[in-house]
Amino acid sequence: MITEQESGLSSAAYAALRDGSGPPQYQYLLQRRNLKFDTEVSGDRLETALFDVASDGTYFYVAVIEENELRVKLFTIATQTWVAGYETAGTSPSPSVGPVFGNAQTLFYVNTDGDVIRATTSDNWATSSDTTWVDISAEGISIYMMGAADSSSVYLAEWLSSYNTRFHYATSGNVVNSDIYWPHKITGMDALHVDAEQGEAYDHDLIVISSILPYQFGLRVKGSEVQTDALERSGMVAFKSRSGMFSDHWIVDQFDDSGSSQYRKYPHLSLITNDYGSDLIACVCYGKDGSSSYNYGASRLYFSADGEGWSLEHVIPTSGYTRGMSLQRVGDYAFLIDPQGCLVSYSTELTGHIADAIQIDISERVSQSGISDTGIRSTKTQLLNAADWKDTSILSSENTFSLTVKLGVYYSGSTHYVTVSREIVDMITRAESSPEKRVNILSRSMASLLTDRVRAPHVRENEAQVLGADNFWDNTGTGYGGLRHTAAIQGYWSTDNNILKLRSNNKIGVAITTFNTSIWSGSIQARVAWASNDNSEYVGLIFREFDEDNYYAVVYEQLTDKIHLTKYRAAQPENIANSPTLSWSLTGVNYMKVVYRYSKVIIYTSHDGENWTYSFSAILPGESTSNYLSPAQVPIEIGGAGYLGKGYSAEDTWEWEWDEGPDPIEPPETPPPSDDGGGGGGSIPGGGGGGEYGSILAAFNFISGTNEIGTFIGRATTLSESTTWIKTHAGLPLTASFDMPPAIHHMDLDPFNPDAAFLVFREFDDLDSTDDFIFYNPDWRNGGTWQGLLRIDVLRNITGQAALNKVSDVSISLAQAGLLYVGVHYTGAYNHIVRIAGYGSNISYSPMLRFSDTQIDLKTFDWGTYPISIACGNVSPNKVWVVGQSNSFGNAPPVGRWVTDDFTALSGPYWEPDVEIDSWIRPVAIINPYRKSSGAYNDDTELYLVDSQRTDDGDSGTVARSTDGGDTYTDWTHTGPDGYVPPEAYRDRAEFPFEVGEAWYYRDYNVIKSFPTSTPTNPTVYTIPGVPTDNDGPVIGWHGRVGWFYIGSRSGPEGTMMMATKDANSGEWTDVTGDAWDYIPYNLFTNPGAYMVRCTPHWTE
Amino acid sequence: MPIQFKDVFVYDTNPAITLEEVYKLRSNFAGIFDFKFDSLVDDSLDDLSDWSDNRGVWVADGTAVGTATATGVSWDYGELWHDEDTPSSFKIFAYLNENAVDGSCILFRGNGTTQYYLLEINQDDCGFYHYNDGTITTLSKMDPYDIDLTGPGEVELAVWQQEYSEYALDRYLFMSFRFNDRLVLSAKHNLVGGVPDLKWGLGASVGGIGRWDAVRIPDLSQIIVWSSLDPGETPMSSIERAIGDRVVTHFVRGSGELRAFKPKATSVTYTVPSTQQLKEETEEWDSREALSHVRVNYASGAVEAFDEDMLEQYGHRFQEFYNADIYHETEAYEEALAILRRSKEQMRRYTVALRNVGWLLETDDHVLLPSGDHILVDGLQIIVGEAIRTAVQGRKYAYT
Repeated sequence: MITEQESGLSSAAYAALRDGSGPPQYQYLLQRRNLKFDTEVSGDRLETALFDVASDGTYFYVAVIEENELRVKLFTIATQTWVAGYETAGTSPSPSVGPVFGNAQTLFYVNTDGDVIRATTSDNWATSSDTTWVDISAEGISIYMMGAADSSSVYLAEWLSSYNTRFHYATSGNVVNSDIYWPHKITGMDALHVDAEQGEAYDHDLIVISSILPYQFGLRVKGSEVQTDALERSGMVAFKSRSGMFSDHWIVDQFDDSGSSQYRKYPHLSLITNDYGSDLIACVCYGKDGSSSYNYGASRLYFSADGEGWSLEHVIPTSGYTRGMSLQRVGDYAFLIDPQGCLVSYSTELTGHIADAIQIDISERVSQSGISDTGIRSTKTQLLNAADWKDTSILSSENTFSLTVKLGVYYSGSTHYVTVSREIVDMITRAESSPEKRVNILSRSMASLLTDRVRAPHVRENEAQVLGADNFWDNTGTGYGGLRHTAAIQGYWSTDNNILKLRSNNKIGVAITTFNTSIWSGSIQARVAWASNDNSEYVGLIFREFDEDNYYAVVYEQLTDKIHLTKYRAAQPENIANSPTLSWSLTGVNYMKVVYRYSKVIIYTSHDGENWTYSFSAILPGESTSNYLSPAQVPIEIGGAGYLGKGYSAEDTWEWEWDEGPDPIEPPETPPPSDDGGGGGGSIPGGGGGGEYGSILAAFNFISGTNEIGTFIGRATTLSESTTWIKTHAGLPLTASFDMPPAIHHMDLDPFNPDAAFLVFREFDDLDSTDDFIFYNPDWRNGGTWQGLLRIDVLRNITGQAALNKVSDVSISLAQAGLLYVGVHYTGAYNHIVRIAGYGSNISYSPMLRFSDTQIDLKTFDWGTYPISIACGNVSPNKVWVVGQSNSFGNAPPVGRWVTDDFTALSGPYWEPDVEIDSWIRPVAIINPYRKSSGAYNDDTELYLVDSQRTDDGDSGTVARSTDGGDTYTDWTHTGPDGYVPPEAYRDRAEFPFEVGEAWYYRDYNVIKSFPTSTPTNPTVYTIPGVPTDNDGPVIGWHGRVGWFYIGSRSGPEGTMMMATKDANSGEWTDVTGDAWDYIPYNLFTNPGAYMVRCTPHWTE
Repeated sequence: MPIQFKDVFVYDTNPAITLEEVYKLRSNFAGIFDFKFDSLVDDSLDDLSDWSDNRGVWVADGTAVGTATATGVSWDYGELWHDEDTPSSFKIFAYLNENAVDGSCILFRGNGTTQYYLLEINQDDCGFYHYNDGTITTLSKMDPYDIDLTGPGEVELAVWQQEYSEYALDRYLFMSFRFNDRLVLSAKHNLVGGVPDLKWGLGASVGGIGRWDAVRIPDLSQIIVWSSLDPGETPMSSIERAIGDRVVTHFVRGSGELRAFKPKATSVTYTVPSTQQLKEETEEWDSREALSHVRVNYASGAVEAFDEDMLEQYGHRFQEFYNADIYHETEAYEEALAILRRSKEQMRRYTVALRNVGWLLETDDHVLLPSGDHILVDGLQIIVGEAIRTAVQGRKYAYT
């Protein structure tokens, strides 16, 4: 019953209504319901998404960045006109970060220094001469998007090198770094302060972003093959924040098949006061729906009362306005506004207020009306249509109409109404039976919105929290009844006495729980136990599992006594983080728990499964680009959770055909498989190289017997048996001034540009000032032209060594796109590291302090006479590791790193000489292995030290691996076989084993050896015999791709080149040299194996 | 010994969704943003009239503040029990006034004296525990790491029971704690020892202070496993799938608010003045849908309910219902009783015509007719013209 309080009447008037003690009254109001933005007031036609809008009731203020200024443009609401010109609210704004209003008097922007500036005007922006600016800088935060909730709260989006967006909350002088690491680059963001009355007990801020959402993995048929595909999902999500503590998210809208023709971007939030109920939060964005051929773009208007539940969007045709707009309602009008212009509509009940101009009182025309309420209230209203009233009323227009029915009583000298029904008109019928003319209106209550007016164009699901507990109780007694909630993915599993056991003996086992196989953020915990303390066993939990080759693992490894967080893509492990030493080896039974939320992972441990202790946390890599990516490249954000282990089992009665497993994720179409050695591109730096998984061959030569660089750099355009070679030497000095035999020391492919390559020379003497010794070819794959990158006079200038004319060693390491470090060893027992920024474009050089044996005294060695090796991870571009090389096994080499915040100043860099890496490592080179097979081409977390002789056993070489990019000196773990001898161990280009599929491969003179990636420490090494040398000449280079190897060899200085492949399974080496050679081969490269997703492992042979 | 796993617990961070929230989300999608829901408990804690303290000292004046009795026993929590039981599956929304001092607790699924579960929120950690006659068992306790538990803030406790089979080893109680709309901690407990009771209350740990501002348990508190709105589907279709065979009344009010509630015994909403009743009245008895025995199949079993009066009067009239979203036997039995009662109500229908009054009424209002009959409103027919007349359609009020 409509209560007295709800009626809004006095007690006496309500009693008169209730008891029927006064004459009945009624009022029928008819209104237009739809918004119709049919008035356009053009602005500057400035098409930009970097804007924001605020209103003080007199003006709309539109902030934009234009001509290096922050400008505020004014729209006079009363006259619905733009004010000519603009007001300047700030200078030197960042051109890439949009300004945002906190309120009508407060504007936030980012300046070119990256500082957040709050510009405030005391009255309004029409007279902005009183503007004050306050730096509320979030120092060190690289902001690319903002959203302001009010005059003191602004939310910042930071793009991290881990390809995650991290959100921050900034107030005056205080920045709260949220723990939201969103694994995508967002395409829009806004914030809004919401008062306590609006659905919550406490004030909070609402943040809405538009973004890619977790990809959906599925299968599709292409030709005769079933391929894995990643379906892009995108949409908008909302967070609540209280002082920077973010809630979990709510979906505003989402699409399972998004792309360039299906998306939502540039959300703008506003609060709409509502005469008829709760105030509304409006979110306007630009969006498209459809296919690439047929799609429809328009502004989309969503409403919510609390930020949790959102309406089906109203699609507002706004042709030409494609960068999102802001909805404002002032008085009788609703406005959609952006810098391009302002669209105006009468306000209807949808925007919380009905303009008088679109509402009429039809009470006097009502001849009869019946309201029926049997589930959905509906009303039939018969109106008198004398003088064809309908044709001149609002009913003559093509619109949606609402009917408000008020019933009441005449009491105590006035009429008292109560709204008994707000309905939407279904039908209008004009009927004439002379002489009577009528209009019949059929309408239904708002319940019709639920029953038939609104239908979902896309799935909108709300999965309640799924929890699953498994005690592996076997109600069948068979050993398998306990697997009711477990799906074995790999290996042999059974249950026994309420325990899940991995029965496969010393083989990897993977299983998942079936309670929920599609978890985005969640947790799994279990008690784990292993068999033997001396069997190199490991056991742990997996999450975001797609198949047996793709998941994240949190695994306790006996050997290291640590928990390792590892990403597996296409069966390739990529270590992300590790726990401290746990001292678990002897206890045998422990509990592990992993909590993952967006890209943040927290690992807890426990000894009882009840009291959990924080162990460590890490950030998972996100998505590097907002462009379409192949399935092998997208982050796996949703998937199953379960178990992983490998250990001894005496009951291994079931064998798995290890070599016949299903294929892992492979790229479907981008790039298309071909054998042309080119094309592609892609978005992974250096990856996407086309060809047959990116295989490109290069051979280059020097002219024997002379002191000149050869005339030929070879580029193979096919990997078939008729290899054709194309000269690619344009720009190289055909006749050098060097008087020593020149050496193309090595060729490096640019991991950030798949078309580009470097050539590095060394060991030349009597250099002229104009001689270059590093060349760069930005379009090498297509031929291109070599450009000198570092010239001797530049080196002289920045080193201060005016007489420098000999460079005896060069080592380069690429930190980021356009950022190169060059380690140079030269005459005078000096080494320098030169930082080259902007190679290929606006190049600049920065010196680092030179060092010699007196400056680096990490260990005693003959520093000055031996070359250096440098490496850096792209995640820490200001850290450069340096390895000096020993002159014998007896002398330990130095290892250290440079760290600086400012390479442009000589005083900036500093050396960290007083820390030591693990003493067992005796490195000869340090390598950032850009060449990765797991898709992470320029892996930023792994750094390898090639070790020629382990000091803990005296005569065994190996490889040390840092899993955090060398950030932790003691984070080096033994990787690779004992006895490993780098092929060029005593040179500065010591090689790291080449990773293909499930194994690492390395050349040991005339054989190839391999060991499995699954046992990185002290693995069993297998030998692949028969390196193809027709005349026992030296192998000059080799590389691998999926299932194949390429070997280059030559027979002496005047010999010929033989190219050979070997089927990795069983084939013989085959000569695929192709056309005749008229030059002397020097080395061989392939495009690094970004797509070398799997190679049938040799190590099982 | 091979590699082993045991005692596994997995969950996602989605919020548990009640039937009330399904109504809200789907109605929001349709463009309806105002609601009138009932509550089992909606207490601003101005006083303790609906509460009784079992241990400790409690006062309330808009904030309930409790302390435990200093017994020196760590498990001797201060307990403040509410008079109203929870359903087996429910959410409690509570506002934590502040948490500057450790020890605010919510007690649930207990017997009010010797057995209960509790959520304890401290500044730096939180945990779920099971108290059983002097023994406290930790179910899960952890430092939530990134989450600031210092109040004020909104606490949402979801508790529900799931049974994978009819065996006790497959019966679990799940509980999840969210703070300011963010999942903090979930826990499980294998209910091998039986199904716990339904008392709930507030608590304070020993040495701590419980400090709560307001609490609410929705009337439509049942937790729904899944709700979706599929392409082309209407919001009401999605709501009805969530309701299943539950007896729930919903309608959109004239103001545009959506009203939804579980029918329950009510006092008379409106007494029709005898002077206002027109001489147009029907009373209809229809035994075609009479039921005396119903079976409700729920997620892990089935319950049977009988009505002795109906058995005597109409014999054995059986019908079977299904509701896979119900995971608890008690909840299923309550639904069976509601179905029997609805059957009894709908056997006898009334229509009365009223002069000038009656249009303030709404669905399921309890109306006392001049004849002395009690009816629940099923529908209205309002004729507007020179006069306003209302025909009220109703069914028998069958609560006793």
